[in-house]
Amino acid sequence: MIWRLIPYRVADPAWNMAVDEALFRSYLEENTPPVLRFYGWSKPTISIGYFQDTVAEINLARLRELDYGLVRRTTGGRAVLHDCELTYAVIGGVRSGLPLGLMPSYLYISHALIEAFSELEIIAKLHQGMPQGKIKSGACFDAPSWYELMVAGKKLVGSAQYRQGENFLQHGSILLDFDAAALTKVLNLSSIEASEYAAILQRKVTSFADLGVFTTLERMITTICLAFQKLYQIEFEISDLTSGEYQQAQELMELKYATDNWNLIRGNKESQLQSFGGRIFA
Amino acid sequence: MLPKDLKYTAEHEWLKIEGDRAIVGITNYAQKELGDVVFVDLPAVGQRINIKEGMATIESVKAVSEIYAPVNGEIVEINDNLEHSPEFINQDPYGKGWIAIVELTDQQELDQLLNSTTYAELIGESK
Repeated sequence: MIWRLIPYRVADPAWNMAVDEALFRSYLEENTPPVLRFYGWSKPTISIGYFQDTVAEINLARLRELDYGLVRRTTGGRAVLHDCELTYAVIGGVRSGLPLGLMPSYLYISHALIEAFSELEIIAKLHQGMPQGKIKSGACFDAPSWYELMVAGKKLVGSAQYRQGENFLQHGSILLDFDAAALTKVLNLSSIEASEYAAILQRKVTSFADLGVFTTLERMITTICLAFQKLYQIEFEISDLTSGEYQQAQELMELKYATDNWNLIRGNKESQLQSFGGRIFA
Repeated sequence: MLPKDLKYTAEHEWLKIEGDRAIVGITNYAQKELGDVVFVDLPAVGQRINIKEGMATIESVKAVSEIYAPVNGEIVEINDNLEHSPEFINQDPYGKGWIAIVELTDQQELDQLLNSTTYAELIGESK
């Protein structure tokens, strides 16, 4: 099976999300095989889930003070602080031989990551249960769900999907380091709530740094690709965006991911929206 | 057990046909596949929908999923209870979890839908 590997780049939040959607559309139109993409963020960024109420959950004034980015994902889940992490996107579907269904597709990717992490001397396991009760917080990493990767009971990778039929885009954050306080201080919480919540997160989340494993991004990416190759006989062809995909990503960035209309209002249509000056978070 | 009076699609939606209208929802198989539904983005009343294009968006614990329009038509009613109680989709997918009522553009499109026997075969429940 041939997959496409998009070379690692660091880019701004809106561009990162626009490229993933452009590649997903390209896949839907059968212009590309499945895609594995790795990327980084030009500055610490909060990404929020498709349905989240940004204004209610995120402290936008604090975000501005700290010069953090903000972008809404197409994928589900809750707020993630992208800072010391390796971010990946997988785009694929049943027509390329990927498993049918939501959970099997998660499992497929999780198994490859477990294989890769074992090469890096981290023994990760799959979490096999759903979060208990209603979602209580705005942050993604406080509740493992099916097939999340855990090490000694703590979450190491957060992930979420967007699906159209049997085609999916999966976003994932592999934590190289984790600072719970940095995340909680940009959520809309009182200082007491923020410190209590940070303590909870610190107990539930781990990272490569916590585990004493320090490696280069290059080695991690190579190891993950080799794991996909070993488990599923996938050959990767390295290629950048085509001109059509690039143009699509440009349009998506300008008309969607760099706009307050998408990042602040979507999912909160009736909120009393203050003006945040268009693209200040781009 | 699949209700026998409904029509189905390969994208795991059900339709209850009432004259020139159809009540639309997702099947029990689909809700189990998605897991706990936490948000539903409904179409607007009066919105035109085109077959195989997005009609609604559902977020479960692990994914945001587009729900395709199973037929061409116009949305004439939506189940706005889902905005506050999205769990109805899990608890009662063929009842309180209905998503929208569509006024059909072309009744002949219904011939393309699956009956309960064919849909059961598709999801491996035909025994």
